[in-house]
Amino acid sequence: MLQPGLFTTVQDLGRPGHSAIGVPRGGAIDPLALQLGNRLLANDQHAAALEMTLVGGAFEFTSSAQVVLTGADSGAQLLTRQGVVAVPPAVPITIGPADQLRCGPITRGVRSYLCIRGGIAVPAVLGSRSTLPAAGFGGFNGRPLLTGDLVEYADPAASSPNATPRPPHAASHLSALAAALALELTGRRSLRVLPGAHADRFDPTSLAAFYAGEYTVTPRSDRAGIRLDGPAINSPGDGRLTSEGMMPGAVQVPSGGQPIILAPDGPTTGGYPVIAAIITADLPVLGQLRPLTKIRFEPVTRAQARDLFLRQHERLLGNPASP
Amino acid sequence: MAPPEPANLTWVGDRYLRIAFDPHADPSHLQAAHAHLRSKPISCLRDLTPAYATLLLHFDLLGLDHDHAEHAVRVALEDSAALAPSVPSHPVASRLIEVPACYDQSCAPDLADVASHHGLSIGQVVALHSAPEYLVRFIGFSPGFPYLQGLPSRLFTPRLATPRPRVPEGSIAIAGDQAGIYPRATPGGWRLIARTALSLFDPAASSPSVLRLGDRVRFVPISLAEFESMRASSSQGNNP
Repeated sequence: MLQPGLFTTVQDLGRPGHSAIGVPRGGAIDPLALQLGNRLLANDQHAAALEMTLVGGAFEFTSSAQVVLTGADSGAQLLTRQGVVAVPPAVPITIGPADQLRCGPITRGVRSYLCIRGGIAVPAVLGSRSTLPAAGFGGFNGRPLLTGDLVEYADPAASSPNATPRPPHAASHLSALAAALALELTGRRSLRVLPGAHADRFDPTSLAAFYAGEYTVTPRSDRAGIRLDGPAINSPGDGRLTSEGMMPGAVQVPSGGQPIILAPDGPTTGGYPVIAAIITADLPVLGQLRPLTKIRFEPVTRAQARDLFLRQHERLLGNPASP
Repeated sequence: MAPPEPANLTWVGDRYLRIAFDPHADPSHLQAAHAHLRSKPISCLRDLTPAYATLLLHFDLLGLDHDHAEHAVRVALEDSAALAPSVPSHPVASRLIEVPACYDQSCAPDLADVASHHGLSIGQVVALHSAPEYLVRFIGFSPGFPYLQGLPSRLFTPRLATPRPRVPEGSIAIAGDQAGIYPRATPGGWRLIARTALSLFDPAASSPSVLRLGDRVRFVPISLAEFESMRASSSQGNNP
């Protein structure tokens, strides 16, 4: 690790199943980018990668590695003895010993994933290699990476000994899919939602304002929550109800009237009223919402939500026959 | 004990089923439902989050049949209610955990304020807070944080107007009618009236959270010297 970038953590697909001890699922906040990166490298889908935020890191490799960068474009370059080459997003490359990979500022979207063949090798905690920085465990010593950190990656032969090389046309199809999805996610300006647990306690004027309004993503957003600035909403119970179970994508309204969208590292329970819940298919958008971006909430039905998810799942399977 | 009101089931988002219990019912009903649902293999059910009067079921959306899942949950809840013990109060198997608590000013920055707010002496607050057996209603907010029921009403105190950006690890706190313990240094808005050196959460342990739903907790006052000695010898001794 030469330069860590703004906020770089080890993430995989998370640790579901522990909310009853106060541990959120966590994991990559743009799981589509992570999954595609792992597929491009013929990794296990649970292989861990480095999630970079707004400014990517610079890495020196001590041995060869196959890597791919997915998610937002960080203008990455590869420095070898032969010179400097640009590294296109979503295209696997081979890195030699002493080569340097330099990721730069992300200007569209927020998060870029450095995926490595074999996956990042850190101990699993609660069944996952994801980092929960607020609680100080998981990933690389429970914290974001710092200059000088030595991050190990698994020997690909040991972890996926039976993985057969992907035929070239399928690989390029996957690269095209990853690039297209990144473009779509980083360009999204609406979030599709279903009613939240307490929707019926909000007054009609507030509900109308919420669905008609434009909300700006504030810089006070992170892996725990996306804080928004926009038309104020009257919050029932003056913003405080009895604590209950929460989920990523819950749109909470504290007493100030400014919504917060709970993200993967957010608390497992909470007392803020929930006006809406983002559909599963749109959760990856949370990972690419840049501060100062304006978004709107779009109500859909449960059947539509399910349909959107299934179509996304089919697309992710990368069947070249799928649209 | 009267049979509980039927629980109310609502889908939240596209894959969460929220079970709302009667808030005035004995907590053992929710606890029994939680235990029963955890033991049943319901298709696509991935996680359960108990809280005061709700149980949130997390499902995987791939392969989820909402109607089938809801039906399976209703049947399980009916079975759970039918199996419920006929006597109220705590399940036979609940554990009592003693939490050593230091009420010295250096460990209890809000203790003096809480005392004067209620027109009590510090000694009276300590006596009131450490007298009851608290019931762990659920673990939430952060890893290992217990929500405790049983705070004497004479100590009901509003939370801080402005939360602290950082609450010391092990802080024992109250807010409104709630009591809790911060297992780790996090932001927090509750009133800090004591501190423990007992580690409440270890992610590497086979059972990471020391406290769990249904446990009973008693605070045992200890001196500052005893607290510092415990901190020095425990694994959290390096954290200020």
